[in-house]
Amino acid sequence: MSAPILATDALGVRYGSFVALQDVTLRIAENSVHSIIGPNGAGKTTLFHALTGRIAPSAGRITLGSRDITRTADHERVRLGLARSFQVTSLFPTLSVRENLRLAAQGKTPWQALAPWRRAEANRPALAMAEAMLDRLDLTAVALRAAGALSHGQQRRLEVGMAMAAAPKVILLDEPTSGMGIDDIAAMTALIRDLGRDHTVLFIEHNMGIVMNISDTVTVMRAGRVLVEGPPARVRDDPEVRRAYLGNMITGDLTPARAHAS
Amino acid sequence: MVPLLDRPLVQFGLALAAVLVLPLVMRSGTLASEILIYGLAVAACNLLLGYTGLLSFGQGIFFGLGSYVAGLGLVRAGLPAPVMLLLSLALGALVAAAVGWVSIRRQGVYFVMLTLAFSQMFYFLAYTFSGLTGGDNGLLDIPRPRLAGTVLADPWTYYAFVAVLFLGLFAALQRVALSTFGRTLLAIRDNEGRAGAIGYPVRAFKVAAFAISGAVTAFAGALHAMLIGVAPLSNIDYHTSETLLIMTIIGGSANLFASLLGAGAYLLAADALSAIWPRWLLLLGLLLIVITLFLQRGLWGLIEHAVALVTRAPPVDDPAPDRPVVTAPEVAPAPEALPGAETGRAPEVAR
Repeated sequence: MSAPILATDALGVRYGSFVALQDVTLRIAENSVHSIIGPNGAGKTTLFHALTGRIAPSAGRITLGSRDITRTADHERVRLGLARSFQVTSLFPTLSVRENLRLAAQGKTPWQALAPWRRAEANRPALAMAEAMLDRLDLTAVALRAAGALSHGQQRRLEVGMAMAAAPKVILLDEPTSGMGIDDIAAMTALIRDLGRDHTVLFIEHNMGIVMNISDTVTVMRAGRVLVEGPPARVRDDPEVRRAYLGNMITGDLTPARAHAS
Repeated sequence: MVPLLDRPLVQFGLALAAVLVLPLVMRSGTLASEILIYGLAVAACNLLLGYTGLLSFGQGIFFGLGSYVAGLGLVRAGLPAPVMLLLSLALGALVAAAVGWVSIRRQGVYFVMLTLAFSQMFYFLAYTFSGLTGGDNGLLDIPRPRLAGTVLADPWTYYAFVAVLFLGLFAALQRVALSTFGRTLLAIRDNEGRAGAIGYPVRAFKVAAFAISGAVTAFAGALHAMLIGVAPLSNIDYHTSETLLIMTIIGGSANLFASLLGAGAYLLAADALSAIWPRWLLLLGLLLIVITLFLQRGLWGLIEHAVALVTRAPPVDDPAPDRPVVTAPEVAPAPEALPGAETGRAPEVAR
């Protein structure tokens, strides 16, 4: 295996005396789809916050490519090629869908955007990226609509698109299908699978069908630690995982997932 | 695509028309100049409140600073007015960047409190250093600027001088609002957390917004001191900050011409009402309550409404069925435009 694009070494996060994350060591392979699963409170979102720089880890190291980014500011990490989407949709609600994407693409060169005399239209790559994303997300028809006025499924797609528009090396998706209807889930699954071809995707997901279907690697977390890691088939059959999830969400989705994975 | 009234040329045209019409309909050149001067300061306030979502009580600091800088330069140092105007621009930017740099360390209520604290601090600084500022009496005997050998003593001549500068700065602010910078400010207003998450150094943007706003406000303050011949202590008072905020809200947020409208409406109402009834501020309070409750886009929103009624009333029933899907959003914006009305109140960010 080639060197991982994103890695953590013994990463730990504490909130006061509460240990949210402990001794998490991950190796995310380039251009792979890597999913993180685990029961609520396992530390998945905390891990994302630490990876994107929203919270500072209390122990350990984060490496992007060959670069140590443990202490790098969050907006700086975007420039280095790390982008994320949020579990709770977080858009610019009064701005148009196209403007949301243009801003996300422009975020790659944020200091250039600070120039108060430079017209937004002068950044052609950002405009082109916004158009390409509209097309890829199937949002062209609503390009001029305010993001806050989109349907839930459209907002979730735009949410993921905002992370994609920065053309990141690694894209972190926090429960991309949360609250979605069945039709929208299918579209999102296709989108993530498609993303995995030219990006490294790390995502948190509760829908086991999607996880088992499209992941190259699955990491199971529990109580702030890594429980098991491996390809979907092995993780699914792991006795520890079965114990952790016994009677829990994994059971319902086992059958379709197995059909696909094997 | 861009609504007619929001197009830059239309906005500038409206400002130009206002500048040309004021001398025709007003008797006092001093009041007319005041409207343009406050229009500038309010537009600068709008950049923070309407565009960035920052409710700052610090605008009076920069307005007063500009007045004092102009006064000191003209009275004590005998420097020419253009130099003092440029200097007020530079010092305004500098002080505003410093005040902003500290204040934006906190958000929401604490940010507001910090700007309020700065406002008080600068007021008492001006009050204490009365040798420099004239204290309670203000800095007196500030001369009008001199242009091509003549002093612009006549109110309408000075108005012309102010009008040219006003239009220049108005155009510059328009450019700022339309730039990548201005459009990123709107994103920060909408959702600060996400703006940071997609790569923008939000603090740098806020400080820059403060600097630009402070520069223009100080410039307006300098023009004001030359207009009335005094740099009064009241210009740096907290009350000036409050007045500028009220004008911004009356006019309407995130629109530059609306700011001129707000300044004009306030000053004209003040002029008319104060002659009739000394307690006219009571009525202003009432007006503000009505606007905040029912007219959150201010007077400008009212005009937009009226224009929409006139131009769009007939087509409203027919467009949807036969238009292709792509243009459908053009029909829709009316309800969606509403969220923008919330004056700079960013929606709660997902944490």
